[in-house]
Amino acid sequence: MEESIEASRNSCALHGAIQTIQGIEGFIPIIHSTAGCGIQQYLGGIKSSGCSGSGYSGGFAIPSSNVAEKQVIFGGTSRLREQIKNTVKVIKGDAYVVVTGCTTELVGDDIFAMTKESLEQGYPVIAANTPGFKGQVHFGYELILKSILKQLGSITTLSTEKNKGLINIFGIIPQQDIYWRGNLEEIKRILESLGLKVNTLFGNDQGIKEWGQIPSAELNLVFSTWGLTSAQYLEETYGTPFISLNNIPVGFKDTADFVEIVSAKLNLNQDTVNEYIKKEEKYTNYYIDNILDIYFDYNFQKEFAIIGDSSTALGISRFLVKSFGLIPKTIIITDNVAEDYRQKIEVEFLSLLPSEEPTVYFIDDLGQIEDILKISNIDLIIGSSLEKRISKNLNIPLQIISFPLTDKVILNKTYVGFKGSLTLLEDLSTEILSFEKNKIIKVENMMQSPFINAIL
Amino acid sequence: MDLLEQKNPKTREKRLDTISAFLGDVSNLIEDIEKHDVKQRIRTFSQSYYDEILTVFQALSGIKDAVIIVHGPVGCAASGLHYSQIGRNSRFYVTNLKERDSIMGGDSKLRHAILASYNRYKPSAIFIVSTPVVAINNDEITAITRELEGELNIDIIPISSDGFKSRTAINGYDLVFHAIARYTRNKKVAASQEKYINLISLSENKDDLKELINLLKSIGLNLNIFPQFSNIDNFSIALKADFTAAINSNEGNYFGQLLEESYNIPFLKTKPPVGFQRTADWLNIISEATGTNDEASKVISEFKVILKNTFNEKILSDKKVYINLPASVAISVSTLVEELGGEVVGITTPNIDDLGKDDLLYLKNSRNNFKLHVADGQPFEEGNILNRIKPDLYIGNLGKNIWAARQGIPVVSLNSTGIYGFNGITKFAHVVSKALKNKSLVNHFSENKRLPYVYTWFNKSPNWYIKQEVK
Repeated sequence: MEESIEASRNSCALHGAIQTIQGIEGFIPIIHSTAGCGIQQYLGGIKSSGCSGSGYSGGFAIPSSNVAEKQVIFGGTSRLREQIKNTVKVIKGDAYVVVTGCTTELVGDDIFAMTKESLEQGYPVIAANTPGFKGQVHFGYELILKSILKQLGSITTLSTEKNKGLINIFGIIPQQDIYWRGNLEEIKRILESLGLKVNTLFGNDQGIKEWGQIPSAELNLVFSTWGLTSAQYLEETYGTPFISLNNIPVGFKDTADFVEIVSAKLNLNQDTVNEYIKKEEKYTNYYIDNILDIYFDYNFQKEFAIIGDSSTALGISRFLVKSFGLIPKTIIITDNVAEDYRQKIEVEFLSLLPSEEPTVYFIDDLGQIEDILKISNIDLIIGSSLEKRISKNLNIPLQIISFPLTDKVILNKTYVGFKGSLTLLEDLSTEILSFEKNKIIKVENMMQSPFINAIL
Repeated sequence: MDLLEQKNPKTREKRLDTISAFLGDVSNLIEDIEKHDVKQRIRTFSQSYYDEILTVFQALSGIKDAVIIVHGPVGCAASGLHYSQIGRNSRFYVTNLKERDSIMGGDSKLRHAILASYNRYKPSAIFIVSTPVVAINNDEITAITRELEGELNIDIIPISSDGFKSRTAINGYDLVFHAIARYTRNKKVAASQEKYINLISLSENKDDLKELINLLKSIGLNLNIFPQFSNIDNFSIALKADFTAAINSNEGNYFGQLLEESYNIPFLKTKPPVGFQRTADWLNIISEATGTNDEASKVISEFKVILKNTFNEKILSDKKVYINLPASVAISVSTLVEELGGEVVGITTPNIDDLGKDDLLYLKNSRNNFKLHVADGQPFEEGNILNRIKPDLYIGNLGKNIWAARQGIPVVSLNSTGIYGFNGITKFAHVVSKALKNKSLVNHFSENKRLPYVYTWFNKSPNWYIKQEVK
């Protein structure tokens, strides 16, 4: 994925860093770059993620040094010093994180000298080098997450004494996972049902207090490859063990497995766990029963192509194949995962269904994705708003699961866990149904054409 | 051929003394403009705002048969996901420059992007949008574009944007027009049988554009519209038009002036057609030039009757209104607010310059000590101003509205509602009356105090962080 890209869905490291910081309550990013970087992230990162909002101080309110020609020629550190000094006076926050763009990185500004000054003056300001040319949005998440964890002690008091039953969640990237809030909430709900305490670290009510507790957790849970380096760092530094999952759990089977893995690791009471799983099983089955009529009326057993980040694509494919009877044909993984990790998840996709090996691709270029879909012989696309054009051309339904989503609004929807899988079934069935109803309209239009009437 | 001879256009700051940071009395500003002694000010605290790369992208996304290649790191094309939704052109690439390319140069990636987009879409033209990384490294891209232009036999048009030389995004429109004009000057255009005028549209929403097209068609004019809803040919067709009008003549200034200077096509000096008087003025100027006065008078008097009730209602009487829009549009909207009985108590505009002198004079002459706020975004300053003057209504655009709404002020957004032309008046009156009728949502916001500012900020003067630039 080193060449040019058509309609990239992965943006850059700076944008990944910004939206990760914005996901934490009370954390304020300070962009040290040219003026447009923040607005690019607003239009291309926030608004294109299920029409998300500016939030506490995002969009046009995001502090940014807006370096100009003068700073490009003479350096931008004094402009940054001024910007930091004034940001803490204007924007209320618990922590401020300076993130750099390509311009100040090429100029070579020493940002850590500036944040060191602020820290010495008693302001909670840390920094990270996050220029866009270093990588894409997922890399930006990985990078800033680890940077914040490393500097956490300088902006808050860390509680290091182990807190039994406390779990941190990593690997779900704010905005790039268009359902990040809902996904985190459902994972939290499930674990709390087992009597555990959960810091999702991002989203509602997750701020400096929860971040200060990170070292005290009994366990870290990682839901994609992008949270792995942080979990490793926390294991090395604070001795916190972690469980690394390749995908988000979707549906009864995977979520029950997930619950069992966690409870085994934490030695939870097996009876309580079994009882909880049984309760959720009955709940999900109750609703799945309700979808059977329409499922068979319209032959929901589609052969599908799925396009998205590794964790989401694998989680949703596992559910649709192993519990809902769909047939995987084409898998397109768009999140630039490392070479050795590719092989690892390719195996997972190939073993989804013994009788049908899908073809797995690792690309993020829209043109190439469309070319593959054209020859895939599929009757359902599961992807992003960028797949709208090809789904129209191929005349097959499209279910959205991945970034970007530009024409639907997401607040706390989730496809994760027990409840999320039911929402996924609602949405997928609705897509298929409205596609079938459109066929009726098309036939009606044909009937009205004088030429057809003449034949009839 | 003054403008066209330069490889790159001068920045708006150099060409028109454009400023992007100011808060103060309009009469002082007018004085400075008249003396050609406009002081550039900067902010010592700032928030992100549109840069020229975004306006370049937005302008180009209107041209249907072209491909846009952003030559830079991958995030520089992020807004493409947004613009490809609202424009007509959804075909965009990014050369995906990495750290290594910023040292070694990104030639091969640019070549790859050009060939890939050509093979896939066979576009009529390919635009190359430059970014800070390319500008800082002084990457020379014309060698590749010339070579491939010959090889592929299509037009490859580089836009020399850099994102840091100008502080005002409107500069991006000039860059686009300059590049396209240099490209069209060698084009042969067949003379048309019919007469037509150019209509430049850059930032208007679809409702507004539709309304104005209908209005000009109703007086019998043929239109050549660009860059919104255009093909690349519309730019060469422009060279044979009788006149040029821009819906927003500030945004369209560069191309209008260029057509006038280089091709003797008069650029009609119009104000954005919002409100009855300004729409009538707009139509009168165009009809005067095109000899369609009778038709225009007829349309105007028809609408005078139709709109009588709307104006009699005076739905904005006793209401204080704040406007955040580009100056020329803001003044036109002010006239409409006044026609509906309201009072404009403050304006924020992203920039102001020589072209806005008339607008400033209008403000000076119609009000006492009117203060103008020049800022693109910077909601922290605007929030401070709004907290002082507590308007009854706020009129603004995408991304800026919510900050006013969070202060409990009813908001009318012009992002999707059309307000231009005669029919725009009733549409505007309708959204205004709804905003004033039910304030439950904005009241909820103000009660919940969702503003991100340190409370002492509102005690400071709103221009606290605006300083004169030290060279």
